[in-house]
Amino acid sequence: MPKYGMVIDLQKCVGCGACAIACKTENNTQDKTRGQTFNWADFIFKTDGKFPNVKFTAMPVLCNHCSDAPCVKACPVTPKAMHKHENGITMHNQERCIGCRQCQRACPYSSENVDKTKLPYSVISFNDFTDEVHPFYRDTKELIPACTASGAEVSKKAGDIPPHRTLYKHSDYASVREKGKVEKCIFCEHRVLNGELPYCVISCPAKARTFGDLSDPNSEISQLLKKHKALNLRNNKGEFLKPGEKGTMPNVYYIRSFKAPAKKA
Amino acid sequence: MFREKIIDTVFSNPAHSIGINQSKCLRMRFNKSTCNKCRGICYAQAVTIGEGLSIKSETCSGCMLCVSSCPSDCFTINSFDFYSLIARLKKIQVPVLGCSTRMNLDAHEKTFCLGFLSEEHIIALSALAQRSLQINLTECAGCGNEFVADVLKKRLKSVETKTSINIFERIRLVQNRPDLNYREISYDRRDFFRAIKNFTAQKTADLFDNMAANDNVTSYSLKKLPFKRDLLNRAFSSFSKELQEALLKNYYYTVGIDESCNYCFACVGMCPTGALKISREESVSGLLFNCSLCIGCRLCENFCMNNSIRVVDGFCGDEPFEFRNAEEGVLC
Repeated sequence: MPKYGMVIDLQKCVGCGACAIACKTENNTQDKTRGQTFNWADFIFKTDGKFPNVKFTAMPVLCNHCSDAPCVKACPVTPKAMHKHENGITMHNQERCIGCRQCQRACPYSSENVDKTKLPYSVISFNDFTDEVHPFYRDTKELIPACTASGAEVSKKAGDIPPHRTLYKHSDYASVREKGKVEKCIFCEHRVLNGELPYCVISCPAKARTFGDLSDPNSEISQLLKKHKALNLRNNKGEFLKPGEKGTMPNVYYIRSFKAPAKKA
Repeated sequence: MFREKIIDTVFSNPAHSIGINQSKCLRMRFNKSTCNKCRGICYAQAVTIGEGLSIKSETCSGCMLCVSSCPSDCFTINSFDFYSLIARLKKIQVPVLGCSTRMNLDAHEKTFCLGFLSEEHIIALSALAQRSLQINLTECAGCGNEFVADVLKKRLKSVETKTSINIFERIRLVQNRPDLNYREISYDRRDFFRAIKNFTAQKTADLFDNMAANDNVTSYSLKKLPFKRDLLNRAFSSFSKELQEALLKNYYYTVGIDESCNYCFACVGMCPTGALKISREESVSGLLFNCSLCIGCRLCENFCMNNSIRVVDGFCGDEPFEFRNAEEGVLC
């Protein structure tokens, strides 16, 4: 059984945000609302230091699919709605989710309300109980009155909400999530099971993302981790785990940070 | 194929199996819940709760006590409609209710073992058009489920103390054969055919109901009011003012929050029946609570991380059927 993980090469990443857009179209996530980002693949910009010694980093962020996932521990239902698959993916089951958001509170990379806490991102987002998902594509108000179409009109013509909906089938996941449930990155398992790569990986123009089997020593991802010193994220402020700090054992690795020295070959 | 299905259903022996809806089980919703009602009451120790909820069919004696004890309706009896049973009993002058365990038992309506009658069921039955209902327990002695007679007696007693209805007059538990007042209803030819027509219609309706029920996905987020509470709510308006007050005091609950609540609304997701609701309207923003939908399972209270929620027995406010702000707290 493979154990999936991802390596992101920070020197290749240009911060274009193609991964974020690709993810939104592939997984039909809605727009940011009420402090929930719905960006399963997100990216942040970090500026450190004082002039002239400044460092600017573009950093893609996503669910780390931690081996010691606190979101799974926090889930109160049986069998767990948030659970680990054998292939290492932290999976969320829509049927069993009751929308209590304990996973969101437990996750070090998530925040209940990104606006309020002023944290840059949250990998777990919550579809509110009261609002319908994709309000933009249900709104009958025209963007420019008597000129453009309304969101509702576009989705009606396209025959689905959202109009660009990717219809995938997954045993745990609906292609568009219902209200009153959380959602997060699933490493595009619906694609991975068909032998395809996650959509963010193939849409990266700089080839900064590598997805693969961590348990196979010959896989590209294992080779990269052998070659470079890898860092894991510690929290949703973009801070890395310190040496020796175990954290939640994330499975998304960052290599070639402009600061981190490369391992001698 | 459809024709065969109908014929099958009509002529098959209606085995009233117990369906399990795991998503409603308090333990499945909240892993720290200690609810043990079904397991505690099961005489055959057939109920197991672990990674899932199940009933061992080999050991289950079919007493239906688990069905009546579950606060959140995990167990449902397939193809059984209590409302139509009440309607049929209402038409009979001196109604007798019995179980179908013994073939020659005298009763107008026969169901599976009467352990399914919860206190709520008993209250609803007591409202039967001022006529006293006899429950035929004459064959209970010697049956594997003879404890059900005692359980029913206890439940009637409990209803009596809680509501002060003289329930033992309204519902007579008949244990000795000579005490039973059973008048057989004779059918003339027209009645006979009418009965056949009604029976067929009912079976067909059941078939459609079951087909619809099978399509239902048991999502954990689906809020559903347990049958017991639905029954009590529907019967509520037909009761006298005093009885309504007694019911509100003993069968209903109040949920209130204090100022430590940070409005994370985790309780709204946890609530299995939808008694708690978020409101974002200016006038009543915050957490809303509807007494008629609360089953007093206390999952919200146990789950709340700030210990801000309190659930107390009884309801003293006005309008138990309306959503009101939970900040008003606990009035009783």
